[in-house]
Amino acid sequence: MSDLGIVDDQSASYLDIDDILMTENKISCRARYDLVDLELRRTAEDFHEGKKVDLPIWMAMRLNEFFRHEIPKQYNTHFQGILNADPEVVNLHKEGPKYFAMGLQLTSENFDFADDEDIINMCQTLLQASARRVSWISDMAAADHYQQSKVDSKLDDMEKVLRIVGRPADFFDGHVYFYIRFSSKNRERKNL
Amino acid sequence: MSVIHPSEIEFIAEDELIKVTPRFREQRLQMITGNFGPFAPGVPLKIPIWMALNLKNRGLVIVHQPKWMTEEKLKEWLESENADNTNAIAPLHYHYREISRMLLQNCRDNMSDITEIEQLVEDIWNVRISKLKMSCKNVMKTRWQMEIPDHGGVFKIDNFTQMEVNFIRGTFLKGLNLSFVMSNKITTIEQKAEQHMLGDTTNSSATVPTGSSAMSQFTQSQNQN
Repeated sequence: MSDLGIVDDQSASYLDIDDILMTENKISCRARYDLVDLELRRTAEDFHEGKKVDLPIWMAMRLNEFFRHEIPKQYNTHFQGILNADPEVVNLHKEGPKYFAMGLQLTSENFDFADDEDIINMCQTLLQASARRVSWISDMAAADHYQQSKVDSKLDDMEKVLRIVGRPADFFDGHVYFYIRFSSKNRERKNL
Repeated sequence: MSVIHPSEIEFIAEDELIKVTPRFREQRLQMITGNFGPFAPGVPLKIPIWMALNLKNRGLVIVHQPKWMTEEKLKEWLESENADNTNAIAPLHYHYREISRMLLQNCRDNMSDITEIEQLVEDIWNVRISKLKMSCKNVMKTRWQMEIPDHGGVFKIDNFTQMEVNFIRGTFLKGLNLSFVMSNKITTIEQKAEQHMLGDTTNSSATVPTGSSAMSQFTQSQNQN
C-alpha cells in the first residue's frame, strides 16, 4: 500500500487488501448509552453507559452513533512529541504495521474523539514525520546493503514499498546492478 | 508502481550512434532503426552501439573512442560540476554513464586513459547524484514546512540525464504524492474544526447508518424517560 489516498475513497478501499488489514486494527470505544443485548463478542451482553470495549476500526466507524472513541496509544500527544523530535529512529513497524494509513483513517469524519485539536496536530505530525522519513529512506536506498535488514524492521508497510521502489535492483533480482561503484579492480561482482 | 531497472535504460542507450572502422566488406544493411551504409574495410562509419558491440565481439570491427570521452573533456566537466553547488551542468552526452560503462567493459583495447576515464565518470556521477538528492531533500522539507498549492506543486529540474532521474523517481514521486494527500487531509479537518467552533449545526455525515431514524426515536424516548 503506497497510495494513501485510497483510505478516503470508499469504493476503492472496499476490496484493497491493505485497507482491509488496516481497518482490522482495534480501537477502544466507550458506549454512549445503555445498550442491551448486543452480541459484539459472540455472547449477548449488556453495555451500560461508559463501558469500554475494543472494536476493529471498520466496525467502530459504522457504530459511531453509539460509541465514543478514544485515540489509540500510538497517536496520542505523547507519541506525537516523540515523532516530532526524531522521526527517523522510531520503530513504526512495531506501532502497528500500517501506521500512516491508520493515522489517516482516524482523521475521517466518522470518528468522534474527545479532542479535535489533537487530531489536527496528529495529522500534522504525520505529515512531517512522513516527509522526513521519506528523505531518510531514499538515502538508505542508495546506500549499502549491510544495514538493510536492521532498518527494514523499523519501516511500516507503506515505507517498505517506497524502499523497494527506490532500489529497482531489489525488485527485479538479487543483484545490485549498477548503482554502486564500478571499478576496474573487481570485475566479478559478487551476488548479494 | 512503475519501476524501471537501470539495465532497461542501458538498453535504450544502446541506440546511440558510434563511430567504428569495419574489417569486413558488406553492402548496405536495411534495419528497422535505419540503414547502415556499405561496410568497407578501413572506412569509418557510424552504427548503433548494439551493433558495434556485437561486431566487436566477433572481431569484425574496431570501435573508436567517442569525442567526448577524453580525459581532458571529462576533467573540465568535473570541475565545472564541482564549481556549481546546486545546479547540474549540461552533460557531455545524455547517456554518458551507460555508454562509458558499455565501452569500457567491451572495447578496452582501442581506448586510451581507461582508468582515468572510469574514475572521472564515477566522480561526475557522484557529484550530480548528490546535487539531485540534496534538492529532493529540500523539496521534501518544504512539503511540511510550507503550504502545498492546490495543484500539488510543480518542480523543475534541469540538465539531469535519464539514468539520474530514474534514481530518484520512485521514492521522490511517491513521497510528493503522500505529502499532498496528507496536507489535503489537514486542510479538510481544519476547516471542519472551524465550522464546529463557529457553532454551525453539524451535517449528518454521508455514512450515517440506515437505522438513524430509529435511533433518533430512541433518543427521544430516552429524553422523555
